Order: sequence, then structure tokens, then C-alpha cells
Amino acid sequence: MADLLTVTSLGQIFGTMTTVQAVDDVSFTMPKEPSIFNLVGESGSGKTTIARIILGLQKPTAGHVLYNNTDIGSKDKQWQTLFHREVQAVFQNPYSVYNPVYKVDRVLQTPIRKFKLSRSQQESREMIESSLRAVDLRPGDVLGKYPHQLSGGQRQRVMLARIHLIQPRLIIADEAVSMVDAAGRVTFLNVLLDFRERLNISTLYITHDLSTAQYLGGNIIVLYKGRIVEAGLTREVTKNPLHPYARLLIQSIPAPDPNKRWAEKLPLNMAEMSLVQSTNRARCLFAERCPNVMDACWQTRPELRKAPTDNTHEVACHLY
Amino acid sequence: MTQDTPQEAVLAIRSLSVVYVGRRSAAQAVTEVDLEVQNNEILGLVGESGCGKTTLAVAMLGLIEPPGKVIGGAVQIRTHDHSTQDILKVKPSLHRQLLWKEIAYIPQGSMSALNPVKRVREQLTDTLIEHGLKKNEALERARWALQVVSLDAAILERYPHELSGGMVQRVAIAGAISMQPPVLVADEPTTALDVVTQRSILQELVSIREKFGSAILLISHDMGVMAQIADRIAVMYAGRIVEIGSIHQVFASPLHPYTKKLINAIPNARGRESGERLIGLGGESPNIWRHPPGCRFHPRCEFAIERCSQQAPVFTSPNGSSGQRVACHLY
Amino acid sequence: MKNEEKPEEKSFRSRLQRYRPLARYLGNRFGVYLFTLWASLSLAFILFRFMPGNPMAMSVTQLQSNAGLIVGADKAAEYYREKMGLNEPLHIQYLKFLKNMIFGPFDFGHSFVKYPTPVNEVIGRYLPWTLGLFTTSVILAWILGTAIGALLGWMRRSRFASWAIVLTTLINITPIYVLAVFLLLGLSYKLGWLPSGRPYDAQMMPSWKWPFIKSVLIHAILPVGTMVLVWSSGWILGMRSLMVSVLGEDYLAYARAKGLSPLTILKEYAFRNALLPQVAGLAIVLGMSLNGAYIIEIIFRIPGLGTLFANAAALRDFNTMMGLLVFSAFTVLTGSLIVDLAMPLFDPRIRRSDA
Repeated sequence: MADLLTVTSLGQIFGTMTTVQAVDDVSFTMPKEPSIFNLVGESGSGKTTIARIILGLQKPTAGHVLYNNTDIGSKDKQWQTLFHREVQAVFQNPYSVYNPVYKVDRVLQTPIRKFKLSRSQQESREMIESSLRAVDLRPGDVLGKYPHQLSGGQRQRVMLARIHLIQPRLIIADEAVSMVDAAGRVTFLNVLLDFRERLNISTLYITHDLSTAQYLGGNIIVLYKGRIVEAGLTREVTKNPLHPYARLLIQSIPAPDPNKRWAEKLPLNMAEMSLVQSTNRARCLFAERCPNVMDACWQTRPELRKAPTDNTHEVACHLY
Repeated sequence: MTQDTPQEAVLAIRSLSVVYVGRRSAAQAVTEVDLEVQNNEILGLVGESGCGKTTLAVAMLGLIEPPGKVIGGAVQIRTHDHSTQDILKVKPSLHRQLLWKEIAYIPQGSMSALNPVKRVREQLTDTLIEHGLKKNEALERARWALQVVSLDAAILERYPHELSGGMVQRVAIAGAISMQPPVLVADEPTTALDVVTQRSILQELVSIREKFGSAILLISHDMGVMAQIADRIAVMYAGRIVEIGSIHQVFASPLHPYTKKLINAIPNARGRESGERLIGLGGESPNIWRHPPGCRFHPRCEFAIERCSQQAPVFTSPNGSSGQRVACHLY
Repeated sequence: MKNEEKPEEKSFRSRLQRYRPLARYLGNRFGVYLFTLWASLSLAFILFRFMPGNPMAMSVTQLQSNAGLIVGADKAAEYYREKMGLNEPLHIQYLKFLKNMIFGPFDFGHSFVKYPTPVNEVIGRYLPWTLGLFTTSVILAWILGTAIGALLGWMRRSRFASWAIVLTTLINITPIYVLAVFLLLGLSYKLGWLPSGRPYDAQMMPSWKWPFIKSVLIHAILPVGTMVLVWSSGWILGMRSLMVSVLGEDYLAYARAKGLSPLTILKEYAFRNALLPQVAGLAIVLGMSLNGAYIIEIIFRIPGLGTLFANAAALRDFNTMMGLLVFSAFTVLTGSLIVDLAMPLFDPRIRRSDA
């Protein structure tokens, strides 16, 4: 069966003389059925570059992206229009997507006009109000206000209301809650879960915060310096992380329980303090931070393989 | 000047109120806040964005600028020489000496906290020199401070954009401890960092506390961060402290309905595995220009009774003298 | 650390590597400079050859038809034909033109009107006035405007600063000729405090002696004063808003929290950072200042390059016009090249960034 999104051997190299490999042979698929897919990694892991490539904002230097079995670079105008309607993005900074001189209403009216979603003023007003309610906002709290008058969480949810109006197939949420405080995060994540359950909208959720990915469930890919180090069901990966980096990530989530404090201080080399970047990529890139490092790690690149524990789970590590 | 405090509070905030003066009205950003931090203690201050925690931090340093205005209260610091100074009342030159020497600020861990066109060395030594060190002493001290936070002295010659986020934050911590002040104020020190770096920075703060016995006021919106390193926690809502207690007490038995909601809204796998959803805070976030009368949380509170909209609650200790206090009419 | 990751060994290479982006940046800018220069030279060529009727050739033909009337016109016409290759096809003319530009360098030949004085010499005669009055004014206006703007930005909440900004804005929107005429009428004709109407005393002969220099200086007060007044207002407004935005930066709040003295914060944190774009602005304007300002030159009767261009246009001295056009393109481009090359000195972010 055809998939919603197929990413094949994606690669992105930046720079001409001094090059940085931001994305290195990344492949994954999202099924037609509504689902949630998490891309997790720290800054420099290539997760934002992947988002930009999928949105067509950037041409990859290798590999390709298929949406509904069609390459997203397709020249077909009609297809592109459809693609840009069916794939919607929510970015990190909820302030920068708004034009500060217009009221937030405009953000919601534009898609109605652009995609001709309503026939009358009255109808579009009703649509906007019901979309706002769908994302747990009271229309009276946000309509008629300027972006700076809303909180970060409210601004992000207005973006979700916009998505609710457009009813896309796929949301690409890139660090969407990293500027929203803890209290507003749950509301945002719940809306994403609602969208999947009630409106059949899938989400590609990109984050550095494993705990929010954990909450959303679905599938997960852990990225490190542009490569996939571990992939599988979110539940499985977070419960039994195999790659030492994934383990480190999970152990570093601050548990909201004063009785479960971090036992030992993180060794300094694991906290990534080195600024010297190695250009040799024919090895495990996590080797210098890895507590289980072996000779093989410096010599060959570990391939992504089925994990011994579970056949939905994949890991790229010489330990397995 | 000296005033008796029951315990050896090294930082005591007394009934501090800050407003923002607008054209027609004034916004109550911080209202009658009382806090004490002891030596060798990490006090967490938690709340949603816009609850006034950053304003409180700025006010504590005596750096509120127009249109903000401190309308009452005191910020008392017990200094190195065992005198007590009110940072809001001292004259400007002494105020500048107190900053850094007695109370130092650790900013959010982002590049923008450091001047992009000055080397790390210049940004550390200029402050030390203005606090009375000679040039070579200042350089020596800067080296020492970097070493304390496990940074190489070569960092001194770097510009901020050449450092990683975690390193910038370590530089900021190095600066803050360079004069070994009794009080550190850390405002969201890890929000800009990824989890692994966050962990190592938080652990650095803990070891700073162990090494120097500093009192640290840690401001964050993240209950997980609090649970990991705070000794006590103060919960702030709409400019007021609503609950305060030891971290174990507050997490084990939160009293204020707002604290309960905050703890229940932490995303993790626990609830979701059984198909449950966490409940967000819901309702309207507070508007500092128009606080509701009575308890400021009552419009979002499911337990609100009539009294809540009429009368502001005062602090009580329902669990006896355990130190956990709450401002809520339910107790 | 395992194999191949030894920092000591890598240090030299990595140090070299660190400056690679800088080298690339400088190379890039210089390449852009050369290309733009070539493009503007070609544009000047096209302008004077392809304008209806080929003005260059026409002028020379005209000159030749006057052979009987003007002594030496014949020879002059022959000279131009040879110099510019007017008898040859256009692409040869273009190559000749480029050759004169590159190897001359900037050889435009003789002026049509002031034959046989070379164009470059004509320009050279007018240039000191432009340099002395305009360029000086631009620099003075920049220094004054930057300093005042920085102070007004620093005192952004004082009432005095608000009024000063209103006044500055008023000056800024006043056309320079209105102010010039106003000052001329008031200070010179009405009050008689300052001389005007000529660059120096009518009875004097230009020389490097003090009385002449003094006369030039006194005559310069009014034009320079006018220009500095108007031009500095722009820099004041620009610098003030730069300061205000820098003062809102996180690192300024942090500097205050460190207990630094206001003077250090002003000098080392606010002013230094706000200065960067201001320096960039200066160099570009500096290049432009060499074109003179015709209106000012007319009002104060200064024989600068603006006057030269107007005269050349009136007399159809196309060769001189071309010379001035190329000269102005050259100075403007070189000005901005200097900024581009100097920026890494002021801003470390350019020096080593990979962006």
C-alpha cells in the first residue's frame, strides 16, 4: 500500500569548501492511516533541515521525498497547490509567523480566502470560531487582538486553529512547543492527539524534548549529527532504549519526582563540551561521548539494523 | 540597617510589589511577595510565563526600569562582611558593588546574553576590574572560575558565537561565581538547551552550591527541573506566591489547586500508556492589567467557593509546622 | 580520546581552517567589486555610444565640420577618432575603451571643451573643492551625528531627548537648499557675519599661504555648517534608533546585572555594538560625497564636481561627463568595498562564521 510520506536516503551537505553534513542517509515512512511520527535530536542533529526539505523549502543534496507517491519536487502546478494545502507547518517561534501590525484574525481569514473555504462572511466567522474552540481557545480571548497581546501558548494554538480550518493531511511541527511553557504544552499536544483521532490528521513532530514525544506516542526516530541512531515504536524505544545516545537522552529527562533524582553527575565528555569537529564520518559519530565505546566504533560506521529484542525496533550501534 | 531574621536567611524579600505604569492604569506584576533563601539552599520559583517570576528576579537585583516601578518592599542581602543591605535602598555606586559581589545573576542560556563583539575574557574581566580587582588578578580569577565550571582557559579568547549553548551557559555561571557571592539568581538557566546539556548545567549548579554554600534562587517553568535540584519550591501565580514548601512536601502533597494542576500537566509516558490524557491548565491565563478580585486563581479553579472571589487568601500552614504554606481559602 | 582525535596535532590545521571563511568572504567581496566596476564601466560606454545618434561620434563630427572656423579643430577631431577608435566597429571601440580604462588607467583623453587639457586634469582641478568641502562635511556630520545620536539613545527616557529628536527630525526633513538659502540670507546678507557667494576672497590668488587658507576657511563656514547641520541629523536619528535597539538586547540587561558602571555599559556594550552599521553607512556616503552636490555648489558658488558635471552637460562635453560618471561609480564602489573589507575588523561574527 502506498504511504503518505516516504523519505528515502535523504542527505544534505551545507557549504562548499568546509562542508557540514547536516543530514546523512535518513529514510523513514509515514503510513496513510493517521499517525504520529517523532523526530528527536539535539541542535545540530539535522531535524530542522529534514523538516525544511519535506516542506520543499530546501533541495536535498541526496535522496528524495515522496508525498502520496509523488516526488515533492513535482512541477505539476495543481499537485503543488494540493501539496501545500495538505501539508501544513507549525514552527518554533510563534511570534515570527505573525505580522505584528495585523490582528490575529487575519491569520485565520487568509486560508479561508486562499482556499475558498466559505461562501459568506457569516460562514467564515462561524468556521473561525469553531476552529478556535477545537483548539481549546475561547474566540473572545483571541479575536480582535494583536499577536503581542497573546501568550506564546495562545499564539501556537491559533496556528493550530488555522490548521483546523485548512484540514490538512499532515502537520509538520518543528520545535512547536519549545517556546511554550510547561503548562501550555499539554494543551498543545492534546490538540495534536485530537486532530489525529477526530480529523485523521497525521503529525510529524520534531523536537529536542523527548518527554513530549513520549507523550504523543506513535513512532520515533532518534537523530544524532544527521544520522538515525535508533528507530521504532515510541513506547518501545523509550522503555528499552538501545543506543547509548538514546539512553543518555532518556536518562536526562528531568523526572518530575524529587525521589527520582539523577543518581550520578554526568561525566563531562558525555555532556558534549568539545568544539573540535571531526570531519571523519566513517565511524560512529557518538564515539567520543559514548560510555561503551569500542575500537570498532572509531573504524566503521554502524549500520541501522533490526534490534535483537524486537523486530519493530532498529538501532545503529556496534554493540548489537 | 541590621535587622533580625529568625533564620540565617542570606536573601530576604519582604513584601515586594512591582507595577508597570501604563497611560491609564498600572499593571500589578508582582504583589507583596515574601521569600527567604538560606545559605546552601536552592529555592525554586515556578510559574507560567507571565506570572511575574522574571520581574521578581529583576526587582531582586534592583534593576527595575521604567515603565516598571517598585512600589513597596525590601530585598535584604546578608553580605560577606555580615552586614545586611537593602538592595532597593542603597546608593547607586554601592548597588553596583553589591551586584556580582553579593548577588549575581545567571541569565537564560542563550547566545544573546553575551555581547557578540567582545571576547569572553573581556566580558569576564571588565566586571571583575570594576569590582576592585587589578587587571592580572582579574584574569587569574576568570581562569579560576572557568576551571570551576570545567571549561578550558582557551575559552577566554573566544567570541560567544564560537561556543555551544552549554558552554555559553557555563561561561555565565563562571562569571556569576567569580566573586563567590552568597546569592545566585538563575532565571530559566536551561530553557534554551537540549536535555543532556540541561542536565549537566543543572548538576553544575548543584555542585556550585556544594562547593561554595551559595543560596540559589532558581527560576523555571519546568516542574521536572525543580524536582531534580530544588530543595524548596515557591509557586507563583499572577504575581503572587500561592504555595511554598520543601520540594518533597509539595510534590507528595500539593495543597493549592494551581500547584496540583501544574504537577498533573507534566508530559510523560505514565498517563498516556493507559490511554489517559493529561489535563492542561485550561481557561484564560492571567492578565496583569486586570486581576480578578479576591484570589487571582479563582476563575480557573474548579474548587472555587464564594469567598474566593471576594477576599484574597492569606498564608496558612495546614499541615502544622512542617514549613509548607499555602494561600488558599480551602485550608 | 582515541585515535585521530588528538587536538594538538590538529591545532595548526584547524587554526588555518578557522580563517578559511574569512578568506572566502574577502575573495567574494573583491570579486563582486570587480564585476560591478566592469558593469558600470560598460554601462557608461553604452550610454555614450548608443544614445540616439551616438553622441560621442556626433560631437567629433561636429568638431570636424568646424575645422575651418576653429584653429586646430581638425587635429583634435583626428585625435579623438584615433583615441576612441570611432572609425572602427563598436566591439573594437569597446575594447579600446576598456584598454584605456585599465591601462590608462582611467584615460578618457582630452576634454572636448577644454581641449587639449586631459579630462583627468579637469576633474583634478575641481576635485579639491569637493574633497575639502563635501567630504569634510560628510565626515564631520558623521562624527557629530553618531556622538549626539548615541547620547540621545542613551537618554531615551528623558524629556530633553524627546524634544531633541523632534528638532532633529524637523531639520532632517528640511530640504538642504531651503536651509542653505535661509542661512545665507540671515547670516551673510542680513547680519554680515560670514562671507559668502564665493569660495575665497575675490582679490586673492590661490596659493598655499596662510591668508589664502584663512580666507578659504572663513568662506567655508557657511556651506560646511549647512551641510553638517542637515546631514548630521540623519546620522543622529539613525544612531539613536540603533542605540535604542541595542539597549533592549539581552546582553545589555546582563551587563547591568553584572554591576558595570553606566559609562562602561555605554562605551563598551551599547555604543560599540550600535556603531557597526553606522560605520558601514559612512563609507558608502563617503564615496557618494565625491560626486558633489550641485545645488549646494550653486548656492555657495563652489567650483566642485557637481558644477563641472552641469557645465559639461550644458556644453556637451561628453568626454568629461563620461569621466565624471566613471569616477563616481569608482568612488562609490570603492567606498563600499572598503566597508566590506573593514567590517571583519569590527565584527568578529563575520570573521569566522560559516554562514
